[in-house]
Amino acid sequence: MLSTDEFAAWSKNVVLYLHNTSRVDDEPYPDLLRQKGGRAYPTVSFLDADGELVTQVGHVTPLEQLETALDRLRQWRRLTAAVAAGGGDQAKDLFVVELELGMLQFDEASERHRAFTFDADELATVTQRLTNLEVRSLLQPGTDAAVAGARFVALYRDARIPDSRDERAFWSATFASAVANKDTALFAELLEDLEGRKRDDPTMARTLERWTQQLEQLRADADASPAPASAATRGSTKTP
Amino acid sequence: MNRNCFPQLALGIALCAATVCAQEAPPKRRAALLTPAPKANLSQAELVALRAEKLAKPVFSNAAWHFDFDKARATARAEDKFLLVYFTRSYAP
Repeated sequence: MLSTDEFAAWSKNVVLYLHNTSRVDDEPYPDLLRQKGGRAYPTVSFLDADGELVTQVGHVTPLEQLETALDRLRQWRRLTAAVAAGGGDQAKDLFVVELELGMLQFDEASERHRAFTFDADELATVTQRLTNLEVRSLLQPGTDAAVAGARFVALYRDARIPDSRDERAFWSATFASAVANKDTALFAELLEDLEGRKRDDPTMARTLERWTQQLEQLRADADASPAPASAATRGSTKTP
Repeated sequence: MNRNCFPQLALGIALCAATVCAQEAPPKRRAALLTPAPKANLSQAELVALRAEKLAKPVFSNAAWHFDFDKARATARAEDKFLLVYFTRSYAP
């Protein structure tokens, strides 16, 4: 994409900076990627003119995605100025743009969205973005596994499925929660649902096959052992 | 080990795996994660040569790329534009 004439023409809208980590001793900013929130090579990010991160667009990015991100960033800059100048009626638009640009952490976004009233379309968009953010936050290292697992199941029950790059991790964690709780019925429900959603996705075929086999194993285990403890006694440390 | 710990342990392991999965790039072209670092013991001269080779690639002469962060920021300020940064590396493939 970077070598196309289309990119060269579009790039006049921004200032291009190539940061190459070389490990040569004279490198002036050897840790810039990490400082700007990057975790992998390559990473594409927008910074403001002071060099502060405004949004990260991904690893390998189609031009259309860059165009959309730049349009949003210009909108964000206009709205930020307007709200700072007292344009409180534009605070909701600013919130939505910041949400779309990935500028907000889940806790802040969840808190701020309560201040606004959304129409149906806006609410659907905001809810989806909040779901993506919440799943991202739950997947961070250090999150209590049991708490995260329960929350993944609750999100699934509310039909709040992420549409971000975390979608597959969401399904994996929700299946794992069902296994951890020996909840064969939930596992079967998840599998049936996912098969319906991903039937035409060849990248999911092996995963679905693996989970189908795991369901068979869960059912066999359940048949071979006494009924699991009820919810009231689950987690008890008493031995029989 | 208390048997009641097993479900949480299993879920923890699965969540760790899911987290790693979440950090991966789309399957078409995986990004190289920062860690673990490559173990190649290259000399400074070799690293300088690899850097020169990287920066000389035709893709980076196709548009007006800056290679100096300070100058790029100064240009962005002067032209009132955002910076688009492409982070890459030359010390490893």
